[in-house]
Parts: sequence; C-alpha cells; structure tokens
Amino acid sequence: MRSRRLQWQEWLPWILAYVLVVSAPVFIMLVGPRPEGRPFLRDFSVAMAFCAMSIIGLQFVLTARIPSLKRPFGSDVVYYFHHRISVVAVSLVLLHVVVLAIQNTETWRLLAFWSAPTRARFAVASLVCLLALVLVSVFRKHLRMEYIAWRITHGLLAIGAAVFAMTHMQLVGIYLALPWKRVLWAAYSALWIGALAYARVVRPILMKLHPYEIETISSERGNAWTVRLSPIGHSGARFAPGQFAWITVARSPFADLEHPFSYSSSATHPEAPSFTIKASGNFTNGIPGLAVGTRVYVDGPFGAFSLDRRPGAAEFVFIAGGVGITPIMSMLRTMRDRCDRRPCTLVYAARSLEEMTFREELEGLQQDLDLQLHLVPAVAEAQWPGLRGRIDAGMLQTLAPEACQGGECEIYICGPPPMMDAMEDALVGMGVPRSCIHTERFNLA
Amino acid sequence: MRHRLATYLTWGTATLVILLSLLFAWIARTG
Repeated sequence: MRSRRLQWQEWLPWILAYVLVVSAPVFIMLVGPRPEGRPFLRDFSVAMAFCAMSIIGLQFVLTARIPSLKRPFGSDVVYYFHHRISVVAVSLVLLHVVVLAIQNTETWRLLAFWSAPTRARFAVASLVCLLALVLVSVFRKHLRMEYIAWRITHGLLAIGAAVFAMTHMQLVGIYLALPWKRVLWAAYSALWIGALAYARVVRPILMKLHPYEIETISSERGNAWTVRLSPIGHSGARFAPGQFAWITVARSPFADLEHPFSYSSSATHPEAPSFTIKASGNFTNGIPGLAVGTRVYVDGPFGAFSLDRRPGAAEFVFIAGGVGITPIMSMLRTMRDRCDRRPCTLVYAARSLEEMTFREELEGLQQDLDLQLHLVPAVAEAQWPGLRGRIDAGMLQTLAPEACQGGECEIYICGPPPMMDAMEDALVGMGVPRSCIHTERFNLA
Repeated sequence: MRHRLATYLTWGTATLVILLSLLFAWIARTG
C-alpha cells in the first residue's frame, strides 16, 4: 500500500498544475479593466480560445520527455492524454470561430485569407496547421507516411499552429492591453519554447555527451536481435527493469530519427545495456546488418512499467506475448541478479515454441528464481504436454490462479495490443483491482 | 482501460474550460 500512496502523491501535483495553467488565462482576463459592452457570446468565444492556446502550448511540455512528468503516469498514458487533449484543443478553436460567427455573421469573411486583415490571416494559418496536424495524425497509415516523416511534419505543424495563434492573440490585443499581461503571455510562450528547446536541443546535447557503441549483435528466437551496447567514456544510464529508451543508431542525436525499445538486460548492469528488437519494419530489419562499433545514442530510461514501482509486492505474475517478453526478461534477469526470491509466474505466449525468444534462458531461470514458467504456443506438435492456443481468462485461472485473486500480487502484461486488452478485461472481470495490473503500450504515433 | 486517468482528465479539462468561459462571459457582462 505504501507504494500506491506514493504514486498518488507523485501524480496529483502534476494534474493540479496542468488544470491551473489551462484555466489561468480566464483568471488573467478577469484582472484589470475589461472592454465594456461586448456581447456575451463574443467573450465566451474569446475565453475558450485563450484556454485552447494554453492547452496547445502545454502540448510541448507533455511531449518534452521530462522524466519526472513521465515517471508517475508512464509514457503511454502521457502520449494518450496528449492525443485526446489535442482533440479538445482543436474543438475549442473551432468553437471559437463558430460562436464568433453566430454572434456576428461577418466573422466568416475573416476566413478569406487574401482579403482578411493580418490578425485574421494568422488565425487562419493557425487553424490550417491544427487541422493538418489532426489529419496527418489520424490518417498517417492511410497516407502511408513513414514514422520519421510524420514526426517531423507533426513537429513543424505544431510549432506553426502555436506561433500563428499567439501572434493572432497579440495582434487582436483585446484582454492583452495591459503591458503586464503581454509580458505574462510572453513568459507563457517562453515556457513552451523552453520545453521544445529542452526536447530538441538539451536532451540531444546530453545524448551526444554520453554516447554508446554496439558491442555485440546476437540472433534470438522469433526473428529478434539482441543489441548489446557499451558506454563510451561514461558508466551508462541507470534504469529500472521494464523501462524503455529512445535509440538513435548511426545518426546525430539532433536528427530526430529515433525509435523506442525496451531494455532486455538486467538493471544491475547499466554499464552493459541491451535491447532485444524484433525485425518487423524498415529500421528493425536493418539491425542484423549493423557493424560492431556503430555509434548509438540512448535517450532514456522512460516508462512506469517496472516491478521497482511496487517494492512492497509479495509476488508477481508476468504475461507476455511475442517480443513483449523483452521488458519482462529485464525484470527476471534483474530479480536473478538481486537474488530476489519472491514468487513469480510467467505465462508466455507466442506463435510456436521455436519462436519463443529467450526460451532456453527462461527455462534456466527456474533454477535461480522462484519462477513458475508456462509456455503457451499458439501452434504446437501433438506431443506438447502444455497448453496451446490464445491465452484467455480460463487459461489464466489455470496457470496463474494467484493473479486472479488480486491482493498482493502485481501483474505485468506486455504483448500485442489486442492481447493486452483481452488480458486486462479478463482480469478486471475476475475482480482483480486495476491498480494491480500494469501495462505499457508502444504504439505512440 | 489503463488510460482512464487520461480520459477523465481530458473530459474534466474540456468541461472546466467551457464552464469557466461561460462564467467569464457572464461576469464580463454583469460587471
């Protein structure tokens, strides 16, 4: 229970700070002289737009990879919120336009870019950037846009939307007439630019100062490769087992060509981190072709998917699907190196026994850990004595009954998203408290 | 499911912004 209370204390200040910063524009507008005789709808519309501006600016803070912000929630939750709240921001901006137009139909004419006054042109440019941002994010796969191209486009459109909107606000000037309000909004902008600079300049500099090189690349079952790194001139970044990092291979850390991968090595050896990567795309298919000695930059660790977040847990159940075994392998190896003898159960599903990454090592770990290992191939030979097929609620009750009772057992699930959803639903359906179920998803884009 | 906190915060923020904007417009009108 102690660790849960600590978690609550960790995340609540961030949420309060967020709500305060988003709503602050309304309170700032209330201070000082206000223009008189303005219609109700006009003021309503402007207040929404000011808050939308605040939300848009804070998006830069949410995505700046600030470790203390990511730690209490987990990276996937922060990105999920970033996605959802962007819909709110765009909706508020559209409402701003619609409500203004309802109040005064002449407003529609301001959307005609070439004939509109400068202040309205900036508003239109910002709106176009915002809508384009939503389109390329929602339809990235339909547009067949490469992840890296999408990231660069996304970043440029986001900067455009924020800068144009801020310029529009300053040019309109209503509720910004007082010098201190202009200064305050300039400081607000500086905060967002600071977050952007931290993500795009400070972190890459830190990476540049702490490079790694590839020490070995070894083939694993399941079309996966383990890349072991060696820090150059430093002792490596400490990480918690189960966390992940953004990896840049053979490029400058400023190039913004990075990919997220889970650590698969023991957290007791930060001087020899390794990442196990399944070959499944343009970048990952090229892993076996990389040369030993290739320069690598590591931005991390990140993520809340770690047994270290629950130091008081009495036992653990791990549920892995395919290459989702990677962060769990890091946890098991760390438990072995720490001589942690708390009971744990691993239910590991993959297409076949042959494709089960780390299968032999997992079987060996049963000697060093109090580990119950259950391999569940989707397809297996007739003489296979264990279970086969997709993991479901019934299978879970048979293989890991302790997981289904809740209490002091912490459950970690990593695998394909449909599997994770199914497992979470099954466990919650059996009465397992949500606070005992841990997942982290990587489909960030 | 795990993203419930983010979902609540999203809806909470949207509701708060709308309500605060209405409140602001009302205060601005009534002085």
